[in-house]
Amino acid sequence: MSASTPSLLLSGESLLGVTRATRDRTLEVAARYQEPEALAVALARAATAGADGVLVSPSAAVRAALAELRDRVPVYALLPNVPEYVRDSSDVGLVGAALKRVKRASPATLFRLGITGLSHAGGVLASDFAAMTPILLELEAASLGRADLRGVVIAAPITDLALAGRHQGFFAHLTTFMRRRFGVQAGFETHNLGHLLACLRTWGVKPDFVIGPVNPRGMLMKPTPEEVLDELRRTEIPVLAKELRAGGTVPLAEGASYARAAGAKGLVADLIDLEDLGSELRALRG
Amino acid sequence: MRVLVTGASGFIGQSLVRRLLEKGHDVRALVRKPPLTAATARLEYVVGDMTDHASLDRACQGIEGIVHLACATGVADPKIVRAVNVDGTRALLDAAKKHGVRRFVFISTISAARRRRGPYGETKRQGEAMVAASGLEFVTLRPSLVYGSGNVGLFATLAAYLRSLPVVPVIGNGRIELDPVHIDDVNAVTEESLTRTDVVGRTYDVLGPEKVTFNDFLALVSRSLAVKKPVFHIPGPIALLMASMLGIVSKRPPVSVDNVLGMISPADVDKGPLQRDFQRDWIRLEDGLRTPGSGTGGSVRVASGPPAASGSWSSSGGIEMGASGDSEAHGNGRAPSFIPIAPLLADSPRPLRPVKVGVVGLGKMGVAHTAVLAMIPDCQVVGLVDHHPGLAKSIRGMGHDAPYFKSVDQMIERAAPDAVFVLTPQDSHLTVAKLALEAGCAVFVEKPLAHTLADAEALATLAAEKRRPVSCGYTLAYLPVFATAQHALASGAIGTVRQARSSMYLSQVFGPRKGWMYDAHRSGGGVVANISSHLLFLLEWFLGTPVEVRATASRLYSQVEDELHGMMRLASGAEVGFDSSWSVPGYPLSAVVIEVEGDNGKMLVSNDGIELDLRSPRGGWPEGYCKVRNADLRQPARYDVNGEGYYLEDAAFLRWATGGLAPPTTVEAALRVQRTMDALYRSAAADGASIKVGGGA
Repeated sequence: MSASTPSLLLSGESLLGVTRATRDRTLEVAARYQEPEALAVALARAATAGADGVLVSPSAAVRAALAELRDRVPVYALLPNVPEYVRDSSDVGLVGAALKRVKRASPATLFRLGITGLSHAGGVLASDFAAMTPILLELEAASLGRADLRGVVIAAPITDLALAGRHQGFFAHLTTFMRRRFGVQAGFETHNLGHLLACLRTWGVKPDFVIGPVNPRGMLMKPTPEEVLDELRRTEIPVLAKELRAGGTVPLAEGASYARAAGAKGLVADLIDLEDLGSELRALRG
Repeated sequence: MRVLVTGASGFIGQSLVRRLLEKGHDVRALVRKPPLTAATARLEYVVGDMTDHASLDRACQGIEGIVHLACATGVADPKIVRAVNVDGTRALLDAAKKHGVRRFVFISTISAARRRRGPYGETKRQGEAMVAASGLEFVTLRPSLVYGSGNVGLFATLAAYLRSLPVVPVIGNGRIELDPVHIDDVNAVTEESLTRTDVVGRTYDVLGPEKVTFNDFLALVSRSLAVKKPVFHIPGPIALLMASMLGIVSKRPPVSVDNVLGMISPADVDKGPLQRDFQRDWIRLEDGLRTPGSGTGGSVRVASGPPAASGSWSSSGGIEMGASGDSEAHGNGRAPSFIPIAPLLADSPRPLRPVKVGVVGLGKMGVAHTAVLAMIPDCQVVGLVDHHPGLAKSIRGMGHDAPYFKSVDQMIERAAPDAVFVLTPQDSHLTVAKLALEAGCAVFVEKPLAHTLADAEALATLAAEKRRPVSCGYTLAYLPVFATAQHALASGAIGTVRQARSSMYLSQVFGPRKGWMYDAHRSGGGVVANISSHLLFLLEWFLGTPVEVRATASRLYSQVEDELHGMMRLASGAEVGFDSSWSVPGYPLSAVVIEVEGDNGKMLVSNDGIELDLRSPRGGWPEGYCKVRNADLRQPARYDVNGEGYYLEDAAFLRWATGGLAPPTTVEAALRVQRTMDALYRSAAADGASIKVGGGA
């Protein structure tokens, strides 16, 4: 892709309920952005404070907030919304959860779904993750509506399952698919950054960026902090650092400065990391 | 690691055993006389002798690593010195090879590097050669003068002389240079030598950070003991003659030839390799003498651990917190300056040899465990089983190449796994586990152990009969906060428990639900069987098994209980509250809170962290209030799937299955949880009547 790697993203991932911050803090932030208007203001403020975009998953709250915005903000879609999918699947099973999404899709989405399905028919019949995931991406990306889509990022739980299976074809195909189908940057989020960078280097697969935990406490830096730092030095793929505050145990500026010094090309600050969103993002921007 | 320590009752041995236990190793201590202190679950005493070769053979059985400290020192008879230091070492090496011991750490002496050697230095040098030629993975350590607390050893003897003699004799002119090394440093290097692969095959001169003359050392020790005695020097040749003569008339002369040579014959030593390979803040002489009393404690930082972390790993079984470990997380409390490391978090577990694993049940848990297993070193998934072939197809579609089998029998027969993961609904746990155990496999069963107490009892009985490791998936035990909390309780931080309260909540059920989880005949119950049996395990692990329970339960939406409230009485009489619901808003992730009050203070542990408020410091925890967060704790899992838990529990089980230590989540512990759960259900069915755990009303 010709577009440059984002150097600062505001993430709304914590609103999905899965965070490394304290439960009190998680609830506080969820309450603060419960109303679509409040979330919309935060997204707009991020753009004016210098963030290159917002990293969000398609949830009802995000869809409503994006619809509220007068000026569109650049969106990096974190797909699929795994926590929602898991919750749905515990109600109606994995197939039921997929059907639920198909049922709410528009005719245009169904048309796109058909094309993507047909072009991946062989893989779908073989239950190949590399073929199944694009169908899920179609459904989920469509639910973001007319967002100013700049990138599609595969969510960590999906990335890490394919990584555990050393599914080289998954990463190679998804990188190509996301670029061609959506015309945007292709990224992968992971909770196992050292493993992922090592595999991508070995396989010669080069997505536009990777998002993973980098922080001065070594929290979530797998397999070990030392190996993650080593991979950061060796990789040619831009890395956007997340979990900068290590679950709230270090100040954001300290985490950001550490990640940059370690070789991260960009930062992902979550709503849960920020108190004064505008000024803190501006400070990160430098 | 299961470690044999010879010479365990000596100056270094005593403190080394404590350190190894703190670092999570299981220890077998070879001692010549039965000890006064009792053995524990992780410390076993074996009475034996370096000249009793049969005892060495017995001591090596089932051992993974040996620290060989035992030696004859200060003994005049060269035949005895040889019998212990040479013949005994040879016999120990033979026994180690016979029993497949992986690592041999030989504690030699700097006397082996002296230009002139007495019987002790000479035989130790021969021992070094035998160890190097043994074919075992070895590390040889040559400590210099070791100092620290203790009532035995050379340093203790020197201190005793300083305290008791009117005049202190010094052999030679006292200008010989020494590199005294603190016992904590020696123990740290020894412990690392057991586990690190990059130091195998090397010999290290273990020297302290400062070089001082003996005269200076004596002055420093005198100052630390607050004694001042006159000194007189005995010329070296005369001292050597006296030592030789004393050796003729006494088996254990007050001064041996090696002692004299240690004062007059320099050693050819090099501390470079040690400082290069064991990067740590070596305890400086002045600091070490000021507080020589640790033996296991101290607060020595080492170079390994998280990069530039505000807390860093310490050699002394804990984590030191730097000043910047203070952010939002600690806003309402200070982080302790030192956090003891729970044994479960001491290292990243892994199988002790390559292991083949079969996975039965390929739902959500099957996907998670298969992913984790694929990332554990030396683990190979060799078979997938589920009655829905499509689920196996999905897992294979994620990149896993293990073949699919229609039945457990078929998988066991064709894939010959060493271990089987049973991840099916509870009502089939016994059936599947039985097939695996009958085939000689180790078994991991998802929690709870079974859907009925009868099945759980049968499974535990079968595991005992077959003598195969069986572990249960109580994942919370492996989360750093809960492992650390258990360690704090076990080390007596809050003292005798007076009462406890606990809860586990989740937002999951807000309407009629279908599926096996909501069918008591298949799952064994509702929120308790499916969710908060995790909490019951933690309570069992933290506090022990209750003797009696009372409970009430509510069905809000399902055919099984959606909420259960219980009170449990421990054998000590302490009461433990238990609240559980999966129908509470505001808990997208399950949340556990346990508060325990003891006679030395309180502890509150939750998924967020640990808070302690102690009346007096205990178990390595400070007096007053402190707060520890997840990020403050060691996170040794090498792969993250929804946190540390899955990786650590699977890897710890596979380590056990291949001859390592048992994890806390054994079938016996899981059975005790099942008995408590059964009693809670029976009480709830009897409108809150008191029910004895494992017994009647």
